[in-house]
Amino acid sequence: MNYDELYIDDATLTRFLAGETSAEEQLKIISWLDLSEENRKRLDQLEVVWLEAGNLQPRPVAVSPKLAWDKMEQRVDAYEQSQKTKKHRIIWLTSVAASILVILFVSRIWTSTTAPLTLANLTPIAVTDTLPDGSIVALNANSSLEYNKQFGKNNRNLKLHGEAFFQVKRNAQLPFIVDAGIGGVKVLGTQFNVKIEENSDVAIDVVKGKVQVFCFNIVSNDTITTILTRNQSALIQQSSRKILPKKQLPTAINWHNNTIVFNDTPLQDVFKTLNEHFNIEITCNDNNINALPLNTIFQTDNIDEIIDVITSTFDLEYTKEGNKYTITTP
Amino acid sequence: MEAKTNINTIDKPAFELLFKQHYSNMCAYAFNFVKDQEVAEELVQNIFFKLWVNRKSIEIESSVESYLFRSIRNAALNLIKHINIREEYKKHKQSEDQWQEQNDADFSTETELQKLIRQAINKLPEQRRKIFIQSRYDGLKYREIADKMGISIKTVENQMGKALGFLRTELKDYLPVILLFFSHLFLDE
Repeated sequence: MNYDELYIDDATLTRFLAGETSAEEQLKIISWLDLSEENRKRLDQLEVVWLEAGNLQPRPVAVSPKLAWDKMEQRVDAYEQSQKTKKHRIIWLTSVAASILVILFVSRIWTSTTAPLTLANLTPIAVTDTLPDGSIVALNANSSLEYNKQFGKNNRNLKLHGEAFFQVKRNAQLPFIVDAGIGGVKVLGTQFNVKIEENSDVAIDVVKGKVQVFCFNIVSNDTITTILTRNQSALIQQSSRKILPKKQLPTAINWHNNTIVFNDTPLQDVFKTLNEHFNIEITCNDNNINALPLNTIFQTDNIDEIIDVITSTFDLEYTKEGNKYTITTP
Repeated sequence: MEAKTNINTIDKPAFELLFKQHYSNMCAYAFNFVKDQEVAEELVQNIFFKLWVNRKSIEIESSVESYLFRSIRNAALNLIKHINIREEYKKHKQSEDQWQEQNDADFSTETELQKLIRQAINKLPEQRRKIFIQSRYDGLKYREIADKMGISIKTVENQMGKALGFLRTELKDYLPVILLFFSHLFLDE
C-alpha cells in the first residue's frame, strides 16, 4: 500500500474519535495505524486529549471573552460616566451649600453686629423686663437671655441661661421659642416658667395656657415634644433626653413677682426654694423640723421677714450669720 | 500564572486582562449550576461589574480568582433559589454537592493535564472553540453543528481536526507515551 494514499489527517481521526466515521473509513484507519508506530502514537495522543477533555469539570462553554468584554466595557464606561456627573453634581451641591453657609455666616455677623442682645441679671434678686415683642420676662438671679435684633419682627427665639418666668404676648404668627440647651419650650401666648438646673435638666412649669415642650434626642436624632397645660409641669432630663412629668411646686413659679406660695410643702423644700431665690443658706439638721409642712403665701422680698414667719409658726429659733441661717428647736 | 492582581488599585486595562483571562472558566463554572449559557454569562458579567464598581473598597483575603469563583457560586445558588422550582433546585443542589466534592471553587483540584487542556481550549479561535465544545460537550453531531452555525459539514470537520490537533501539539510533552491498544474503539461499530 502506498503511504501517501493512506494518509489520514487530524480531521478524519477526530471524526473517528467523535464517532462520525463509517465502517469503511474505520477499516482504512486500522490499516493506517498498522503502517507505523508514529501513526499509532498520533491517534493515541489525540484520543487521550479527546477523553481527558471530556472529563473537564466544569465543562467548558462556548463563550466569547472578546464579545463579552465589549459588553462589559460599555457597562463600565457608562458607570464611570455616571460617577463623573455625580461628582460634578456633588461639587455643585457643595458649592451651593458653601454659599448658603457664607450667607448664613454673613447674616449672622450682620445681625450680631447690629443686635447682639443679651439680657443678663447678675444681681442676686429677680428682675422683670419687657421684651421687644411685648412679652414680660422675669429673670431670676444669675440668669440671662439672648436674642437677636429681629426678635419680635421675624422671630421670637430666645436662648435662656438660668431661670426665667415668661408672660408671653399672644402672637399666632410668631411662636415664642425658649431654647434651654437640651430642649426648650414653644408657645404662642401664655405664662410659664423655665428653669435650667445645674445638671442641665430643664424644669418647665405652666401657669396659664398651653405650651409645647421639646427635647432633641441625640440618639434617635429627632425631637420629642409634649404639650403642657395650666398647672402642669415637666422636666427635660439631661441624662435620658426624655421629657418626664413633674409635680408642680407652687413655689417654683411665683418667685418672679415676689409671691411665694407654699402648699403643704415640707420645710426642707421650703428652705431649698428660699436658698435659691434669696441666694442664702438655711441649715437645719433636725429631720423632724425638715418634715413639717408649710401652708402660706409670702409676698415680700425680705428674707428675714420670711424666716421670722416660718420660725414663729413652728415655734423654732434661728441664728443668722451673714447670709447663713441656722434653724433649731428652742 | 501572572503576579497577584491588586484589585483595589486595578485600572481598566488590567481589569480587561483579568476579565478575558477568567471569563471562559467562570462561565463554565456558572454553567455548571445554572445549565444555561446565557444565564451563566449574565451572572459572570454581573460579578465582574460589581467587582469594578466596588474595586476600591473590596477586601479580598484570598486571590481574586477564588473570590470571583466564590461570587459566581453564591450568585448562581441565589438565582437557583430564586427560580425556586423544587425539582430543578434539587438537580442543581445535587450538581452543587457533586461539584463541591471535586472542586473547591477555583479549579484547584484539576490535574495538570486537565488544566492545560482547559487553557488550550480557551486559546482556540472563537469559531473553532465553539464547534469543538458543541461536539465534545453538547454531544452534537457534525451535521447538527453545521446547521446550527450555518456552515458546511466540511468546515465543521476541518475545524474539529484543527482543534484537536492543536490540543495535541499544545499538550505533547504531557501526554503519556504508553501506547494504548486501539481495538476497543472499533469493536462497538
